[in-house]
Amino acid sequence: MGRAYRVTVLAGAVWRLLSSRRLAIYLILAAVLLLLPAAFFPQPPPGLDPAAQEAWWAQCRARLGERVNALARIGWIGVARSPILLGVASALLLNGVACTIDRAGRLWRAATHPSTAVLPDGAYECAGVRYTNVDAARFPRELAWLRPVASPSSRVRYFYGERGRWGPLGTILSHLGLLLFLAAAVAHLAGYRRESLFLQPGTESWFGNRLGCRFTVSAAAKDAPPGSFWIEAEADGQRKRAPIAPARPARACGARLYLETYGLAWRAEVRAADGRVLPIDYPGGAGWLYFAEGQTAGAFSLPTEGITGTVVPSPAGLLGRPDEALQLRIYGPGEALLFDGTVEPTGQLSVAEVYLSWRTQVFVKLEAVVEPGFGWMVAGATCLLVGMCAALWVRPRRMWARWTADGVLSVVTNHR
Amino acid sequence: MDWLTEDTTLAAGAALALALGTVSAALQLLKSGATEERSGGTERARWFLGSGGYLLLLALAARGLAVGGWPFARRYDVLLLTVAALALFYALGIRGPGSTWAGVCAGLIATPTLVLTLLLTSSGVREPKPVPPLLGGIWFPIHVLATGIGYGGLALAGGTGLLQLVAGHEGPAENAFPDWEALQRQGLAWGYPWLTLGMLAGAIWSWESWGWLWSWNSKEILTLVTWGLFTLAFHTRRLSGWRGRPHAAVLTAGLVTLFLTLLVSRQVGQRALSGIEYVF
Repeated sequence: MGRAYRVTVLAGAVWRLLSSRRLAIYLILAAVLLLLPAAFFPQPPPGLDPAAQEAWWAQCRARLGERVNALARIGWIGVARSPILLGVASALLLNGVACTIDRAGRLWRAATHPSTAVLPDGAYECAGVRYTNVDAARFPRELAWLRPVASPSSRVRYFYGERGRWGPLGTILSHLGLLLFLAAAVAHLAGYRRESLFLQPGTESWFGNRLGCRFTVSAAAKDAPPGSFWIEAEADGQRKRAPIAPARPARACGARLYLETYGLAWRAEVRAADGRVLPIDYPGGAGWLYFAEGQTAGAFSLPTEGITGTVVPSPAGLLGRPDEALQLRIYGPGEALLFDGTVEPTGQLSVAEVYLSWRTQVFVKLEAVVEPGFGWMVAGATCLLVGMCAALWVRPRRMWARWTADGVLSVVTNHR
Repeated sequence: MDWLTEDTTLAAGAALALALGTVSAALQLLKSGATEERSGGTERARWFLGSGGYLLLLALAARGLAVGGWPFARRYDVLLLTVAALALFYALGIRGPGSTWAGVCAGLIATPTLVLTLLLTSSGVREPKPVPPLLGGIWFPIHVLATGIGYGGLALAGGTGLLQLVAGHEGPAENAFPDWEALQRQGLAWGYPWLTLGMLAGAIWSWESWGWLWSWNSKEILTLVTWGLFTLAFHTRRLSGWRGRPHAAVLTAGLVTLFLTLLVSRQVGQRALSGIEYVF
C-alpha cells in the first residue's frame, strides 16, 4: 500500500512537471539559445547525398579548422541534426502533449457546458454596468444578443449571453498542429529522398524510389517560355505527361520533379574515308558537348587527325531549343580553317577526307524529391493557424443580466 | 504630378509624418502623463502615424507599378512594408488606455528605421526591381506580406517590452504607466499569427521552388529564433515569476532578433564560397 502510494505520488509529480508551463518556458529558452549562435555558422545545405555531405564537411574543416568538430558537437554547425536540439525538441513535444492532455478536458467542459446562467442576486447588486429605463422586450443594441433564461416573476427577469466560448479550444488545436508537425518531421526523416536525374531525349532515366518508373524529356512548344519542357513518366504500364519549368515542378511517380538546369547537348560522329569510326574527344571526357547555363560555346577534337572544332549555338538554342541553327568551325592541322558556317542542328559535312555527322538535343537535370511529410506539414499548419487565430482573436465573452420592473438592467460581464 | 509617383518622395513624406506622430505622442505624455484616453495629442499622433503608414503603402504601390508586379525583390521593400505595418497597426488597432505610450513606442521604432533605411540605402539599391522568375507564384508575395504585417505587430509588442524595461514601474509617476501587459498582448495577438503564416508560406514557397521546406540558412534560423522568443512571451506573460520585467526582457530580445532577421539576408556578413556560407 505504501509503495503504491509512493508510485502514485511520484507519477503525479512527473505528470505535473511534464505538463507544466514552466518546463515549456525553459525548453523553449534552451532551443532559442542553441539556435541563435547557429545562425552565424555555416549549415550544410539540405538534400545532400552522403558523398556531397562528406565533401561539404571537408570543405568546412579546410576553412574553419578543427574547431568544426567542437562546434558540430555543440550543435552550432549542422544544427538541424544536432542531438541536443533534437533532445530539446522531443522534450518540448512531450511537454506539449502533456499540456494538451492536461488542459483539454477543462477547456472542453468550459466550452460545452457553460456554467450557471443565473448569478446570485448579490452579484447583480454590485454590477459594473447598469442601464435605466429599459424595456424588457427591447434591450439596448449592444445587449440584443442576450437571451432570457429564467423568469421567476414578471417583475424580475434574468438574461444570459455568451460569445466565443469555443475560442480557448484554439490552444488545443494549435498544440495539435504542433503534434502534426512532429508527424511531418518523423515522416521526413523516414522517407525523404532526393535524387539527381540527368535526361536527354531518347534516353531514359530510372528513379530509384519506385521500381519501374522511368522518365523521358522533350522540348516544349516554340512559343513556350524559356526552360519549359515536357516530362513523360511511365510506371506500371501507364504514361503521364507533365510540363516542367524553373520553379514549376512536375509530379510523377509519387515524386516532385524540379528543373535544376537545362541546355543543349551536341554530339558528332566522324568516319574516315574507309568507313572507320574515328575517336572524338569532348571536354571532361563526356560523350557530348553540353551547353549548360552560361556556357555559350564548346570545343571538340579528333586527336588522330589533328582536327579541332568549335560549336556555338544560337541564343535561342541555348534556351533549350534543339531546332535552332548552330555556328560550326572546323580547323585542320596547323589551325587551318576548314569550315566556318551556320549549320542545321542535325546534319552532315565532309571536310579533309573525313565525314562528319551530328545531332543536337536538349538535356535537363532534374531533382526528384519525395517528401512524405508535406501533407502532415500542411495539416499541422492549418490546425496551428486556425487554432492560433481562435485562441488569440476570439475573446470568450459571457454576460449575465437582471431586469427589474422599474426598468433597471444590471449587467455583469466576465470581460472588460 | 510626376513627383507623386516617386516612391522615395513618398517614403520621405512618410518619415516626416512618422516623426511628427512621435513628437505629438511624446508631448502628450509629457503634458498629461498619458492619463487621458482620447486626448488631442494622442489623436494627432494616431493621425500622423497612420498617414505615414498609408504613404509607405503608396510608395510600395508606386514601386509595384514601376516593375509591373509585386515590389518585393529587395530588402528595402520589406523594410518599408514592416514600418508601414507597424504604423498602421498602431493607428488602426491600438485603442484604449496606454495608446499614447504605444504611439511613442511605434514612432520611436518606425521613424529611425525608416530614416536609416532611406539614408543608408544607395539609390541603386533603392531602384525598383522585378521579382525574379524563381520567386514567382503566389506563395512568395504571401510570405513577404504576412511576415511584414507580423513584424509590424511584434515590433510594437517588443518595443513596449523595451519601454517597460527602460521606464520600469518605479518612480513617482507610477500610476501614469499603462497596462503594459494589455498593450503587449495586442501586439502579440496581431503579429504572431501573421508571422506564423509568413513562415509557413515561406516553407511552401521553398518547397515549390527547390523541393525542401526548410534549409537552415541564417535568415531562417533567425526567423525561427524570433518566433520562438515570441512563443516564449505567450507563456511568460501570466506566469508568476516571469510576469513584468522578465516578460518584458523576452519581448525585447524578440525585438532585437526581429531586426537582426530583417537586416541579415542569406548572404549578409557571410562569405559564400563553394557552397559554404559562414560568418566566423
